Amino acid sequence: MNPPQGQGVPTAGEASEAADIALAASGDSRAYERLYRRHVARIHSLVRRMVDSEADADEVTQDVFVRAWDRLGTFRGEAAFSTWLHRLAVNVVLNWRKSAARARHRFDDEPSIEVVAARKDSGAERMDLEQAIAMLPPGARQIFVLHDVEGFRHEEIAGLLGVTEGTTKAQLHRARILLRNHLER
Amino acid sequence: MDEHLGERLSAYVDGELEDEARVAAEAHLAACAECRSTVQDLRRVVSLARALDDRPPAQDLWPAVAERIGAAPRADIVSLASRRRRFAFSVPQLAAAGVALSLLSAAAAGSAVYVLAPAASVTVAAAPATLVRNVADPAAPYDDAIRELEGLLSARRGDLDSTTVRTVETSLHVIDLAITQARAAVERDPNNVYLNGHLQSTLDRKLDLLRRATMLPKAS
Repeated sequence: MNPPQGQGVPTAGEASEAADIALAASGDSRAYERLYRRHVARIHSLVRRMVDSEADADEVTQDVFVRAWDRLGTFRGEAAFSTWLHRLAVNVVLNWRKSAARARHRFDDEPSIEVVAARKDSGAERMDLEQAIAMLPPGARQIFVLHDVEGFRHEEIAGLLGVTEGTTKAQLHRARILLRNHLER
Repeated sequence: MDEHLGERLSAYVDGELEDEARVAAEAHLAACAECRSTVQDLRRVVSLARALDDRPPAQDLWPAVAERIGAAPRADIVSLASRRRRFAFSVPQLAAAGVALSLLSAAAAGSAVYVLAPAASVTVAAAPATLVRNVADPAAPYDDAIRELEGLLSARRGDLDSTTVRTVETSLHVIDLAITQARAAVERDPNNVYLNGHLQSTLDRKLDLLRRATMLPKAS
């Protein structure tokens, strides 16, 4: 059959991913493993920056891919699969953070960001920034990650977190100043 | 000198200030070296944040994910019985195709043992061994079945909802591209069990889609 009219022909990579999505949605775990391997670095990096430890990041990343497997049938292709998965990951990690058992606010008033020594070349600066992000107060950290790393807008972040845009803007600035102070050391 | 701009500096860096506020901020920046320096620093932080690299987890999380979704971890021995198959073959050619491809893949694997899914209404003994050995292209039996089902679908096209037809055609097009890729990969490495399995699963998927499409009810 000919491709449907009015739609661009997908690239080989897109077609391969689309086929894997269709296969996985019908229960093919090997196709799902290919999707997992294609996206796990992106998802794990997002999660790792939002939680408190590598072990937590591993646990939440697993949750994301289990949830995505359960919901593959709801993926309609309106957005790219990576976007859909990314949004799902943000929701999973925010819910994980909200859970009472994992409410960790002990660093809110005492960010320990000053303890890490800074380095000056750009590669080291990025590595340093990763470490510094992990030491931000949780509220400022998640807003910084969502806005500056992941590209969400204040309006979206406020909706996700159930706070005002004024709060997200204030927390973002607080995070940036803390990170700036760290990088200047 | 006005007081320092505080968090308005972040809004300025992000281009989020309204015109009036932006003009006021720029006037302040022109006179305030401290705020100018902070703007530069904030831009550097934002730039670094956007350049952060993704890295995979330190350990492979797939086995745990596979266990939680009820899938066997990627196995050295591929068992079709462990796969979730949601259809049964109803056309004799499909039976021959499944048996042929399974046995061909098993032969390629050497020691791998393949078991047909109980859900598949295929009798292994009914497939003559010569059929398997004489098949030059492992996907050839599928081609016959696919042609047959495509003919049925084409004949029923007028009975189906146009949106449904478009959706089916889009899916078939995507799967066809995947099949083309898989065939090319198998041609390059014909003894690769994984690639043969991938080709087979992709062909299975096309057969499943075609079979379900041909069984769709008439549009009302």
